Amino acid sequence: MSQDTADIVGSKGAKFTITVATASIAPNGATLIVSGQPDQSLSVSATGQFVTVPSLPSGDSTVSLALVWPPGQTQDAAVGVGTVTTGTATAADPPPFIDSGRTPGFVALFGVGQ
Amino acid sequence: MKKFVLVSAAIAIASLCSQGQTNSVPATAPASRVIDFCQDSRPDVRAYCKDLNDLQAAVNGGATKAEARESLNNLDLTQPAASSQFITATSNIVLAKALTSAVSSKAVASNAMQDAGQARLDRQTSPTTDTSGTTSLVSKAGSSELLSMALNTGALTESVNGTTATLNTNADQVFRLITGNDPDCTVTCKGVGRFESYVLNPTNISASLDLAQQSTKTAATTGQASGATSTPVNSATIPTGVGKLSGITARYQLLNKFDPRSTAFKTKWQNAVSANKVGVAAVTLMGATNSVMKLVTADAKDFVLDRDKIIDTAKSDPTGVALANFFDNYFSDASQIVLKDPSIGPYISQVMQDRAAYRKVWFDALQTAAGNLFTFEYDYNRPLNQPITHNFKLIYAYDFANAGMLTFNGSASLYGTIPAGAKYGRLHYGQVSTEYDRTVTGTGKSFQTQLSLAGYWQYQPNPSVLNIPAGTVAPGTDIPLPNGTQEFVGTAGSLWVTQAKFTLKGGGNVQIPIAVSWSNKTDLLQGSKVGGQVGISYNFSSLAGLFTGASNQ
Repeated sequence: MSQDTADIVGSKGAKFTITVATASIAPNGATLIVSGQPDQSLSVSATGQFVTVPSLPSGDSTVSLALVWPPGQTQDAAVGVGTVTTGTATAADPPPFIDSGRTPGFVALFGVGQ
Repeated sequence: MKKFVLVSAAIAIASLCSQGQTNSVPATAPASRVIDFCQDSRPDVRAYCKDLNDLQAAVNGGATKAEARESLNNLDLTQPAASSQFITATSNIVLAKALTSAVSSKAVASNAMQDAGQARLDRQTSPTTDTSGTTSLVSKAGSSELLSMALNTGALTESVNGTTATLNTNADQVFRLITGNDPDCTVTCKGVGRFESYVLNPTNISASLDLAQQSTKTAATTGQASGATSTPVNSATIPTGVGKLSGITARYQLLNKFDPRSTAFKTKWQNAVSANKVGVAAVTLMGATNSVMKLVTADAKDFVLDRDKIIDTAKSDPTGVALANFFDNYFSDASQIVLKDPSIGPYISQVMQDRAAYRKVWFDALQTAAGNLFTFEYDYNRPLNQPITHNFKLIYAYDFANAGMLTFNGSASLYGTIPAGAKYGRLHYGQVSTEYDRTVTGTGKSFQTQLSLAGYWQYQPNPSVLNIPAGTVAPGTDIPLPNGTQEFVGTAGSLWVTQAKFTLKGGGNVQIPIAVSWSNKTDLLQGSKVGGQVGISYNFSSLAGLFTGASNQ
């Protein structure tokens, strides 16, 4: 992975929320995965529409989302950046999507800086 | 009056399956010029067909590498997003190798998910009423498990007590096993998804074997072996053993029509998702998929997709043939390395099981949210020494939530064949019945108890028919009946049965029903009867994904 292919790029240590439209994230259904480090469970909002990344790791990382798709939903889930509390975080252009019906969904992150 | 419209459980699901692809790529080229990657014979091309279709369409529309980033990420095995389809593409190969280890170490479904199934009052695991070994006086409206087996002993309307083994499964599971179609989209599948959603998923199948009643058949003799009799014996009755198929049942569920966009349905859906623990299943599936993802992205680190080259390839041939070949070569090279990893097999096996479990609880939640309208049931019944019958049953259930569930049955039983000169008609009997079920203790826990009270009325225009097989010696004589015959036994008219049942539900979806019944008569005998029934059923759902996983998705 790299900055060019990541779905969300931000500054190392940034605290922000990842939003998911269409599908809902299951309780305890978000995990931050960094190669060589233990997985970190992320906080999921009560509505299941966003998760909080407390500190964006440097370089490549992945957020895995356990998505529950509602009946009748035909659209892919748009992934975006919600509230940025510290640092910077921006979704790629064109914006990333998770295919309709697919679970889990993966969001590729890239933290800039050492 | 509440207006019902007959719509299958999956119509709403199927409708979303027929929609277009994604909104992540620019305009497309004329569809007639581009091959459908989903029809390709190569498993990897089929598994990644959506992304290949998107990529070819994007390139034909003039998209740049950056604009096609989404599709390229999904095709690049060093990217996490490519992992789900990797599982789909390779499960056939991997699971064939890892079958043994998958069974021994990974075939354990989430206890929490199984507990969700325990709470349901509408599941049918034992055979129908008119078998010799059953604990069910009334058929339930709900689906069976992915795969369950039940042993039941004790008769309700039958005169002869027996013991049956019943295997329940879902038609969609059987279809996936046979055809090897098990897409990673899990719920909102395209392609054959409409057929699966409309026809197969709402259909449940069970088969019952008679374990206790010894059956016989008549065979021609070929000569006297010893002794001397004045009357030649031309035929003899030989035992055929137990384990005879006593019946097959097919059930089809119809749900109430629902509008997935309405606020009321959304609220019901959220409640159903929670009650059926769909989120737990999704998290379980995520954990298993993450394990595969980590292995794939690490093992394929030397196989970063050459994005410029794949786009140039797609540009060189707008039909997509070159792109399909390019990707197949890329995937084959990378997957050969990844599949050498000895730990990937059990992980992929686990994902397949978890996908099947997730799909099951998702549809259970839909059924809960929409509400069951009717269930149609067909029974092919082969009672011992009686004519084959075809039973058609309509089942309706009303769920009072915490106050329990009320189930109604109405059915007609028809004889399969009517011999020449028969003194009875096609109709065997008609019946109506009802049952009230309520969880007594342990709501929300893995160990529960359930109380059921049932009443049953059957009317048959003629007495029951008993087959007297050829070769049977007429009573009081030594004259064998050469061609067999049929005799009326019992009485015509009403048959009443009441039953009280207590079901113990243990962890791991074990159910032990214990029941006592009273009937004013039985099918072959006059006079009232007090009987007992007992059974045990076990949910083998954790193995169902193994079967589907051994297929090519």
